Amino acid sequence: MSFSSFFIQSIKRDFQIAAIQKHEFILPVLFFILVIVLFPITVGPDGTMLSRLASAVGWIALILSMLIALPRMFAEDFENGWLEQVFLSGVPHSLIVLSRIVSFWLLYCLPLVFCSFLLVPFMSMEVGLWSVLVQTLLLGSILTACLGAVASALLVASRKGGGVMALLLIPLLVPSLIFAGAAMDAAQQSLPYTAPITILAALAVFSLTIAPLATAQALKLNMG
Amino acid sequence: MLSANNLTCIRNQRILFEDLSFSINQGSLLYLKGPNGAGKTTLMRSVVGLNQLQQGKVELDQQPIADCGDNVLYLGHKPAVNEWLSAEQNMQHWCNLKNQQIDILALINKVGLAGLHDVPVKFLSAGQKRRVALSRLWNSNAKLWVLDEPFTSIDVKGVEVLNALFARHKSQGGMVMVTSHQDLPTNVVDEVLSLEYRF
Amino acid sequence: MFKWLHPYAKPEKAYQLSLAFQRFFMPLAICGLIVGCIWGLVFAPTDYQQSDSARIMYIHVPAAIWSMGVYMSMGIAGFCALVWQIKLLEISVLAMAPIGAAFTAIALFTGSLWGKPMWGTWWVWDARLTSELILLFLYMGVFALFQSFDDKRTGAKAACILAVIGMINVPIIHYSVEWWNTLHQGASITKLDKPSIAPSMLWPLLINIVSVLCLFIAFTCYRFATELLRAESHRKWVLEILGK
Repeated sequence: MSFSSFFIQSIKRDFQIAAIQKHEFILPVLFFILVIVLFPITVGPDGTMLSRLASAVGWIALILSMLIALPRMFAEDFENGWLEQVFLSGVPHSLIVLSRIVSFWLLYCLPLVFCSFLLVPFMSMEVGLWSVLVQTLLLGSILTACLGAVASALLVASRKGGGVMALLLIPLLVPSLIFAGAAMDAAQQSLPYTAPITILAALAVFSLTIAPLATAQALKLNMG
Repeated sequence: MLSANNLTCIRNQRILFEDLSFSINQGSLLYLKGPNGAGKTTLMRSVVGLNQLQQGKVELDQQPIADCGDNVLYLGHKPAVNEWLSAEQNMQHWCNLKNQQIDILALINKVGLAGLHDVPVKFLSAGQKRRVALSRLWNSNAKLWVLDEPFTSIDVKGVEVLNALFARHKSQGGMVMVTSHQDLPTNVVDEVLSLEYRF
Repeated sequence: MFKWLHPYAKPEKAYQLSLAFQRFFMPLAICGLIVGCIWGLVFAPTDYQQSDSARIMYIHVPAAIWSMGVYMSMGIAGFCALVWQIKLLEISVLAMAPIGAAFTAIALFTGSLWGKPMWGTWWVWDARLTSELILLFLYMGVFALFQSFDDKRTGAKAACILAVIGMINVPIIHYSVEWWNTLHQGASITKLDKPSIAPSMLWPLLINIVSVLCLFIAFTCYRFATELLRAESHRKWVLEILGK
C-alpha cells in the first residue's frame, strides 16, 4: 500500500473508532469546560480580574485536559495488538506515529481550541484577544500533541500513567507557555505580537519532525 | 527458507534461549514445544522482529526479516482486533493494511460468522473473536506464518479447518511456525523444536 | 579510531576501569573541595555589596553549573546508547541521574538561601532559579520513568529516550526562561547578577568548580560499578568478584 493511502486509511480508522466511543471523546472537552468554570468560582465574579487571567486559564485548561486525553493515545491499539501488526507491515514507523498524532490532534485538540471561545462570555475576554489566544492554542496544541505522543508512548505499557505523564510533559512545555504568554501580553497592550507567535510555530514544526522518531522508538521499546 | 542463527535472548536477567539455531524449509511446518515460561512467545516475536535480540539474526530467503513486511504473517496472543468495530470493519482495515482486495462478506460466511458482520466485536464470544483474527489466514499471501497458540478457544471443527489450512499453505510452498498446547496431528507436523525452561 | 576503546565495552573491563577512576578522582575531589571551601569561605575578600552572604556562591555556582552539565552528559550518553545499542551507556545514564538531581537540589536550596538577604524573600522567579527548578523536574521525570517499568533494561532505554528529548529541550527552556524574566522584571536584577569578579575570589571558585566535577565523576563511577554488578548478576565474572 502506498504511504499516502496508508496515512488516510489509518486516520479514517481512528475517526471510525472515535465515532463509536463518543463518551471517550467528549470527556476531555467537558473537563476543559469544568476547569474554566473553576476559576470564576474561586477568584470571584470580578470582570476585570477575570479578563486579565483569561488567557492563562485557557492554557492551563488545555494542558490539564490534554493530560486526561493523552494516556489513551496509543493504549488501545497497543493492548489489542493492532500497533504491532502495523509496525510489522513495513510502513515507516514514524509515518504510523505521525498519522496517529494528526488524528489525535483533530479529534482531541481541535475541539478544545473551539471550546476556548467560552472564555469570552465566562471570563469577559475581548474577542480580539481571543483570536490571538486561538493562534497560540492552535500552535501550542500541536506541540503538546507531539511531546505528549512521546510521553504516552513511553508509558504505554505501564499502569502508573497519569502522574508520571504530568512529570514528563509539563517541564517540556515551559518554553511554549512562555512564548504564548508573551504573545498575549503584547496583544493586550496592542503591540505587534508576530514574533512570539512565529517562535511558537517554529517550536511546533521542530517538535513535529523530532517527536515521531522518538515516539516510534519508544513504542518499539515497549513491544519488545 | 527461513533461517535463524545463534539467537540469544535474556529477559529480566534470565536467559530464555542461548545460541539457538534452526531453519524452516519451504513447504514445512515447525511445531514449537515447551512448558510455560520457556520462551516460546518470545522466540516467535524475535523471529518476526518484534523483540530485540541480544544476539543472532533471522533471515527469510537470504533477506533480513525486517525487510520482509508483506511476506510474514504473525498472529500472537493479542488479536489485533478493535473491540468497538464490527468484524467487517476489522477485516476491511486488515485488507487495507495488507493491500488485499477480497470479498469480505464471503470471508465472514466462510469463518462461520454469517449474520454477525455488523455487530461490534465486543459482543462476540471469545471463540468468535478468535475467528475474526484467524480469518486472516484464508487469503494470506505471506510466505511465512508465525502463529502463537492459534487453537485457543477454537472448537473441534475449527481446529480441523485450521489444520486443513496449514496443509494447503504447505502444499503451496509456504512455511508455518506454530506453538500449541494441544497436539497437532502428526501428518501436519514436519519438524519439532523443544524449548526447555531454564533457570 | 575507536579501537583502543573497544576492550572497555566489555562489562568486566568497564567495571575495573570505573573503580580505578573512582579511586583516582575521589581523593582529588575531597582535597579540592576542602581547599576551595576554606579559601572561599574564610580567606577570600568579602563582597562589598553583599557582605558575607555572597560566600555561598562558592557552593551555589559549582552546583548550578554541573547540574546543567550533568544533564547534557546524560543526554549525550543516552543518545549514544540508543544509536549504537550500548548497554553500558544505558547504565551510565541511570548512574548520573540522581547525582545530577542532587546537584540541582543543592543549587536550588543555596540559591534561595542567597536570595533571602539579597531580595528579602526566599523565592523569586529569577531566570536561573526557575530554570533550575524545571531542570529538577526533568531529572525527576527520568527517574520516575525508569521506576515505572518492571523490566530494568526496557526502563533504562526509556530513560535514555527521555534524556535525549530533555537534552534538546534544556537550552530552549534555559534561554526562553531568561527571556521571559527580562520581559517581566526589567534589568535591575540582572545587572547585579553579573559583576566582574576579582581574581582573589575567582581562584577558590574555579577550584571548587573543578573539584565538584571530580566529585561527579567519582560518584558516577561508583554508582556505575554498582549498577553494573546488579545488571550482570547472572554472569560468571560478577560471581567471582562477589565471592572474593
